[in-house]
Amino acid sequence: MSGATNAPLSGAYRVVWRWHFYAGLLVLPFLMMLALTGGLYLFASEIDDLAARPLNVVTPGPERVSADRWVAAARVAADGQPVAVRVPDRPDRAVQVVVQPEDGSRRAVFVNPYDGQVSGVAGAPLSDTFKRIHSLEIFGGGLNVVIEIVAGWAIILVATGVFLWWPRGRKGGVVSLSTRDPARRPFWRDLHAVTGIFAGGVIVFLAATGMLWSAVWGDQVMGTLRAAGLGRPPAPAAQNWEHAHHAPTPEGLGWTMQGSVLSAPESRLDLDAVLATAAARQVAAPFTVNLPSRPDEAVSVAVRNTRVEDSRTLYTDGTGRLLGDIRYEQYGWAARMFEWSIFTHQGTQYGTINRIVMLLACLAVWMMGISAMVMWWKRRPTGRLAAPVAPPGPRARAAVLGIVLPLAILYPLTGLSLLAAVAVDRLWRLVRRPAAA
Amino acid sequence: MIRLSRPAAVLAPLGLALAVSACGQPAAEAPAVVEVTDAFCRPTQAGRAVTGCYMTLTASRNDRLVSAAFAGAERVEIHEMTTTDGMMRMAELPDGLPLPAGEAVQLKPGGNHIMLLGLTQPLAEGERLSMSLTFEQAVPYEVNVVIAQPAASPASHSAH
Repeated sequence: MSGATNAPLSGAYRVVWRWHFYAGLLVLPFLMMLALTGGLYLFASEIDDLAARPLNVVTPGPERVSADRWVAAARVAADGQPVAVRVPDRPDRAVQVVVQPEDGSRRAVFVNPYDGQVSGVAGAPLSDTFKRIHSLEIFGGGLNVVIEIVAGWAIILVATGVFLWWPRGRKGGVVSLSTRDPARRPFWRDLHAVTGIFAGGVIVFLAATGMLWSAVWGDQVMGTLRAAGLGRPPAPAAQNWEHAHHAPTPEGLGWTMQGSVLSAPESRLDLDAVLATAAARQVAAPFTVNLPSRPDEAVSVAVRNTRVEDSRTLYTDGTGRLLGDIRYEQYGWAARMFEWSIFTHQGTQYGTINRIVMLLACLAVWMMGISAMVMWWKRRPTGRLAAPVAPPGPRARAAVLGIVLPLAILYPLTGLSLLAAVAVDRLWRLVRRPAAA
Repeated sequence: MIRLSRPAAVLAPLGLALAVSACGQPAAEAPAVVEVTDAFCRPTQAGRAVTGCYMTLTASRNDRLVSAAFAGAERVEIHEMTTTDGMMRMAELPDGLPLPAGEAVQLKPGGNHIMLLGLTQPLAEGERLSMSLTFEQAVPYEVNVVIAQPAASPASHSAH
């Protein structure tokens, strides 16, 4: 079967193709899973809002009852320790009080803020499930490293893919299809290549920024930056900041500030006073009030923002006395950059356009995945994997190393998996050689 | 080495992902619940078959304590204390005691209380009794009440 290319296949082309094939084979299922769950997560707020109907819809009343009553009603309804209060931005939505029962789970209790009545109790929202599949966390803690490897390989796929796409005098299949006949393999090759060249940049962005969440690379990088003081400001009362070993992670504190809690000497909690302080400081809803787990911890009011510039966290003691007001302007450059990348990754930073671009990238991953499988299916020899054969020669090897090596160094886990892949490839050829000869 | 018989095999993990995502916990309507804390009855005074009981009630939905019952008493009444013109008056609440959602309604000495009348035997400090409370919304609740003097009442468990 002849390919769509006019130029003869060089050794370099064939070796890059071979790597592209194997990388795709290994990570395609994961990439499609990431695109599916990520694509759904783009609509997290809409999906969660819809899933919680009609418990989260309330009729706005003239005024709200005391916030302490929201919390008390929620505590009674879910029988546990209230840990956070999510205040919505819409007047016709219920307040959610997050309650932690003895078993350590977290339940969201929907409370009508105008009469203090509990309308319902929910577990983790659906979007949380998408997120936990997206990170593989749902299948166990250690599997998060797989995502890091996959993200690294996704970048390798794009890089090798661009190499394969490079026109080399071809006219068709560059930015348009050379044939419209789906029965022919070139149609699928072109679809794959054209989709890839348009979506490649976004996919690399998603993979690279997604790494910031990952277990090894993300942790290392963020830890280093935080230690260098490039994250969110550690002030206002440095001596009061401590690393929270036992406290659960407060909601909405943002990536670079997680693990930091501020101590407050006051032990009484007057939630109305805290909300009054937030209102006086013009903290706009939606926000989450994290209730202290210990009497000497501060209350934090974290804005649930969609753009990095709107990031803000207020700290008060139990009586609403202001302890700190940390805004985006006070962030170090690293915190600004990384949190920007997270908001953009999640498709909220630039509003609708952002979401559309990310959704298209998700669709592109599926389109490329399906076209890749069809291509492979159409040219498969029976009973074999049908990988492109490895051409001999050091020049061919240099081509692939030039693409892969820098990434392997930047992302050590990807590098390690690459070494493993090379070893398997070598072993395979050693085993196969006598039989093939 | 990985060997795939058909492209569909590549999709298997996705099917799994979808299956898992379908088990997200849906929101459920919460039943009306009333939390009862710090419940105690005063020990009876010598020769008297009457005593008062106190507790803190917090409801998850607007509710009403309709009635209370104790097997060892002829009658149990829910009493309201009101002050008019400097006079404290005690009266039975015919419609029961309103429990606004999230509000810790306290029955306490000198205030609203539950009155046990016609006790068949005296109540001594340190003993316990079982009282059943009936609400308008919440399911009937059996409370374990300690017999104690107000000063020795159990410490508050409330978050305030």
